[in-house]
Amino acid sequence: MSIISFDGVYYTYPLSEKPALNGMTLEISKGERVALLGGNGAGKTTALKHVNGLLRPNKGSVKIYGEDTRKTNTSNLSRKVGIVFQNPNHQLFAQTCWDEVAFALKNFGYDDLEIEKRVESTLRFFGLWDYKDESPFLLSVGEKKRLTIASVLIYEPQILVLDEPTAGQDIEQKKKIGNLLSSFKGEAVIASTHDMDFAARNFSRVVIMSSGKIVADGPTRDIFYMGDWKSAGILEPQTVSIAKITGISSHPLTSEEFVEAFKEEVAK
Amino acid sequence: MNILKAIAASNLSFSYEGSGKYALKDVNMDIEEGDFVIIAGPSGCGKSTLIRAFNGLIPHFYRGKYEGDVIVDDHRLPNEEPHQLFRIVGTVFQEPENQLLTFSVERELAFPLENAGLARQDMKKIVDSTLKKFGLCELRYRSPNELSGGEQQKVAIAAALISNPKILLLDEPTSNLDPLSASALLDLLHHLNDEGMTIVLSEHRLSLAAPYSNKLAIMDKGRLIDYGNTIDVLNKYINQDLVEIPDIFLIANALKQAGYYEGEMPLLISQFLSGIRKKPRTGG
Amino acid sequence: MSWAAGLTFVHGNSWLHRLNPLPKIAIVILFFVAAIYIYQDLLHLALLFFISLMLIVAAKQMKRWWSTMKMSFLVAFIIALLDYIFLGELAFSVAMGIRFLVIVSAFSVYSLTTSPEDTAAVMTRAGFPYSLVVAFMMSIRFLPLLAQEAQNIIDAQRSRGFNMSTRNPIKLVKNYVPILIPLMVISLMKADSAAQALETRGFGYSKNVSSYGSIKPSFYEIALTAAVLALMVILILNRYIDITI
Repeated sequence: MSIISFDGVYYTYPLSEKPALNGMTLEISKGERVALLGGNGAGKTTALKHVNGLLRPNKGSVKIYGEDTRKTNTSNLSRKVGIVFQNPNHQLFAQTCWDEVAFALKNFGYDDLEIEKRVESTLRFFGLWDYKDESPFLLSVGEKKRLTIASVLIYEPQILVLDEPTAGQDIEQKKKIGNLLSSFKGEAVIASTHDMDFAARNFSRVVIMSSGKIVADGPTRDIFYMGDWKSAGILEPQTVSIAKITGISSHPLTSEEFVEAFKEEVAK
Repeated sequence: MNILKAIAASNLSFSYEGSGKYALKDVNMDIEEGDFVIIAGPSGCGKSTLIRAFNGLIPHFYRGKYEGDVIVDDHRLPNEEPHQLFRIVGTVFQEPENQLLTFSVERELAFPLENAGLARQDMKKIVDSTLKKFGLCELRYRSPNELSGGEQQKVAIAAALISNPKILLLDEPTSNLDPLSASALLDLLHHLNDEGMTIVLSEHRLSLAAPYSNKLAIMDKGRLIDYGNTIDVLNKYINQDLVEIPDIFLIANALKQAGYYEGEMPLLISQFLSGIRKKPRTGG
Repeated sequence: MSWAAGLTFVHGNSWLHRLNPLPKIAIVILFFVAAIYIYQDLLHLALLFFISLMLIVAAKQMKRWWSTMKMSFLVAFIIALLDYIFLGELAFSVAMGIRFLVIVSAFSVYSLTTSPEDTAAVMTRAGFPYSLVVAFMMSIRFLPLLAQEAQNIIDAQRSRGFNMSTRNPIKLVKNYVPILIPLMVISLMKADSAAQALETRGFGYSKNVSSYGSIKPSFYEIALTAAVLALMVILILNRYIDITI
């Protein structure tokens, strides 16, 4: 059963002349991890905002767990769908990190005891417990990012949505974010990203968008080796380019896979 | 030997006011005319602070404790304010739209010339030729809000260079761009470098930028960990998580150790192909 | 197209675009004075509106003007309605609504045909300190960006279950905190970035800042300005002395 489904969705922003989503159809089932790729303006962020009802289709429908998003309000949907936006500065506002992560719990009506419990376990899990009484504005770039992810995962949404999770992050922080995704216990993850290596390492399914439509949808490995997708504003992972030119048949996605595959093929 | 130095930093240290830590500590760095230098390192390593030390924003725009010296094209930086230096060094910042100050591309290019007090006919000539040089003629009357991120950065570069500096500093200019636009921007920088511009670029995406550079500086916690020929430095730090080593480099390194790759470490696929040996080199 | 489209400068080649800002400022002042001080009746105000419309046609910016006027009609209607409810005079109420439209329309004529940079240059020429004028222009420049950021903030907070609508007035004020704090932080960050960009583009290099756009009025333009102001004086006098116009 699909838990996220876009059915022929059209959406145009109120003051815009061009549609941002131009007939988008997508089904995501339980257990899937999907990376949404595409150039700027392809409609990725617009699509993500439809998953928790921030935006609702002009035509077509978006259903979360079978419920049409036009028939529920954003507050209820946010309970099931947690979105982490790209820029932490769009949400950080509290006096302390403790208050910052507790915000969603207070909004959803959790009782104080439960809030205490969850804030402590979440901050500890993200390595931020030492900052519980500090202002979120004093954190480093990576810590701020982890704080925003923490403030969403704290209420255990079933679906996790991320908009450019690794933008501006260094290599160590990217690994941490990748690990966080692996440990996510919910039912589906969908993330928009420009980071092809991150997509290749953490997502088994890839959806490529261009001009508000989906132009490719399938297993990561297959999609990257089907074409270079430059016309969709994509720059394929460097490993894929090298593998294509040297003719490695096993379709490696990462540098480690390439080296293994190369050694095997030469051994034959 | 008289090497022309574009930028020379000696024993440069800086800590922001109110901060206990050093943002820069004992940095010694010489950048020669015509160099293309990448400054890389983990978040918070001091890349942005160093860039700002090269155009005078540090110490004039940010208060703090400043030690050491920076000389840019014969100008001793602590003594000169940033706005005095715009004919020597141009700067492009990370957020495309926050550094575009006017209401049209044409006026954006004219703004530095107005600040210099140039006569109108001269300004028109320079703006026209700059628009042409950067392929911005069609965007001449457009408002910055209407441009894509890549176009905005191109305008920012043109505006930074219109006062005719020989040095261009860029602080993570591709962070907010998609990879194709980032690639186009780096191509532009490569082109400018070919024409003699000294480029200093702080960047995370080494796989795109490294092929164009001749020098790489790695920073961590305010210190300059290493600085030298790009390939040499990448080789040294290939097993550490300080910077994103390009895939092609990691692959060539692993294959080299297994005997399948010979010669110079590659940054471009063409270089990689010429070093590949399909059959392992048997020892002895 | 947003309602602000009629108040945003667009490059063009019409006679009005090429006209020096000085006579245009005089024309706007004439409209303001005529609509607010001189005329209260439906006929004259409608005539003024029609004249402004003709200027828009001359400037070839009908589409953008219309998207601003659409929103303005709503406000004008409310003004007329309130006036009618409290004063009971239909013709007068409608006239008051049209007065608002005339003011917006006149302002639109100016904004559509005069670049903000030229307006800034005129202000500097008139004696305003250059830094102040630049600061003012930059606030206008960044306003749409901040509006977008405000929306991004609201989206981010709503996604965490934040609900802004509430009947409790105290709670309503408190509700703005999660929106205002990020907005303030982002505004400060943008101001900081803009200031650094200003510095590195030479702002403050020379006391003699030149102007890319030509704002020196020609003889014809000075004469036109004088004529417009003279007309305004005549119309004011006409209100008190009976020179029939």
